[in-house]
Amino acid sequence: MIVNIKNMSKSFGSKSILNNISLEIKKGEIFSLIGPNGAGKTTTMRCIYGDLRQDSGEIEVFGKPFSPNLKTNIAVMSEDRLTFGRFNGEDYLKMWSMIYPDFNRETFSDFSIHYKFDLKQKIETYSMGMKTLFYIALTVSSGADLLILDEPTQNLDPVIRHEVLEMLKDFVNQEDKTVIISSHEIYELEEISTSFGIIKEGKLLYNDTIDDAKDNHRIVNQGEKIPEGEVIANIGDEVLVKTQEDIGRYPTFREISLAYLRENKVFKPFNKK
Amino acid sequence: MSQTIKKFEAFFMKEFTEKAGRIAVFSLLFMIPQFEAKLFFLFLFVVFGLASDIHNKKFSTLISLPFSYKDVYLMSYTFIATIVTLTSLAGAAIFSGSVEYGLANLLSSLIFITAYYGISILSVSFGMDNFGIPFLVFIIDMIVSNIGNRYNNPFFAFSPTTQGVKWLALIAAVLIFATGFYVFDKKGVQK
Repeated sequence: MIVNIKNMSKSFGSKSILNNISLEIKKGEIFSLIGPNGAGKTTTMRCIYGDLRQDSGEIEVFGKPFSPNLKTNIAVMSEDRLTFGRFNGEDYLKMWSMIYPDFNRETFSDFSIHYKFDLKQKIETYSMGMKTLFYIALTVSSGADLLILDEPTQNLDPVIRHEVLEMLKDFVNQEDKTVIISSHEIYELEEISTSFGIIKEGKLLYNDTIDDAKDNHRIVNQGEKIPEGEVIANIGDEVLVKTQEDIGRYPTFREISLAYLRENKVFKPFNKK
Repeated sequence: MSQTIKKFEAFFMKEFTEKAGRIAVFSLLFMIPQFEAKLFFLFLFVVFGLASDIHNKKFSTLISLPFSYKDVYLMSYTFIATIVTLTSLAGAAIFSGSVEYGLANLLSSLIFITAYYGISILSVSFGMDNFGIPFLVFIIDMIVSNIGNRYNNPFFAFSPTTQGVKWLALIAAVLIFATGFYVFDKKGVQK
């Protein structure tokens, strides 16, 4: 197990952000954290790499209780893409080579040539899309076994976005690494994720592998007999049910995600008859 | 061990690159041979270091890298102490000419930055700002340590500004520094 979180809770002052989160991420997985803004995705990630201290619960990374010594094996791209103001690309390359013992300069050079990074330019002045690519290049080249990427396709155009996702998939498969990503983009997550967790209002609603999630749910038409199991939510004229019965049809990943995020609390201010 | 040295090197590189202008200006000011005359500059250099990065939410850029809270606290302090030591010694060599006076001046500067580094980090660790609260402490420290006669004001002895009895002031500074270290490591940054 690469990451094992047990009953983690976190508050900022009097505001509860994470409420009793438990999840497991196995080696070689691309694990996606899905949820709306403010759900607690970024806070969960920040707790995993020790930026924030959880109030309660346990976090194990690489089979050991989290310790800062493990961080040379964790590479992070934060959501805000904050950079050191006066650092140019060469400064970053030098710094990451120093602090990540297995940093691969050749891999970084490949990225640098492909995406035409100007290493003399201050990273602060890069566009958001270029900053994202630059951070992806650093994290992938770091040699770390666990990558934590917050919104890794944010600000990328569709072609580059596809290329980055394919690259991450190959990276995990060929290099035997583990990646945790967070995103709002449910469509693209299905393309690359092996497992996922749905988080909303600080609670983990569901987590599973994508294949098992599809296996464990069925879509039935409204009015049809509901099988034995847990009704998750309506999706249009259909209902998502968590069941082992072989009835209805298999849901898509998108339907599962949306249903858990809705939980039958559909916002219809205009439909008050 | 070698990884620790590399971390130090990386941290120093970051500080020199990010704060080159500020370091150059303060280095000149730290060459002033009288401790009392450079007190406020030392204070400014300390509170606009790590505490300012934390307060201005720049800390996450650093802590997302393989640095622990302990690393950052100690490296940032070491960086400040190194700058103060080198420039104070250079100032003593150029302006005072006396080794004893230069070393005494350096010790006073180090005691002061040790205490106020701890105070500034404690302030931001408890969600307060990097300048206002430490400045308030600084003012109170200056006033209280100068009340009455130095022989019947115990605060005069261990205050980081007056340092009436050097070893008492050093112990007090180390205690504040250690408290800052403990709180920063245990509590973390709450933003």
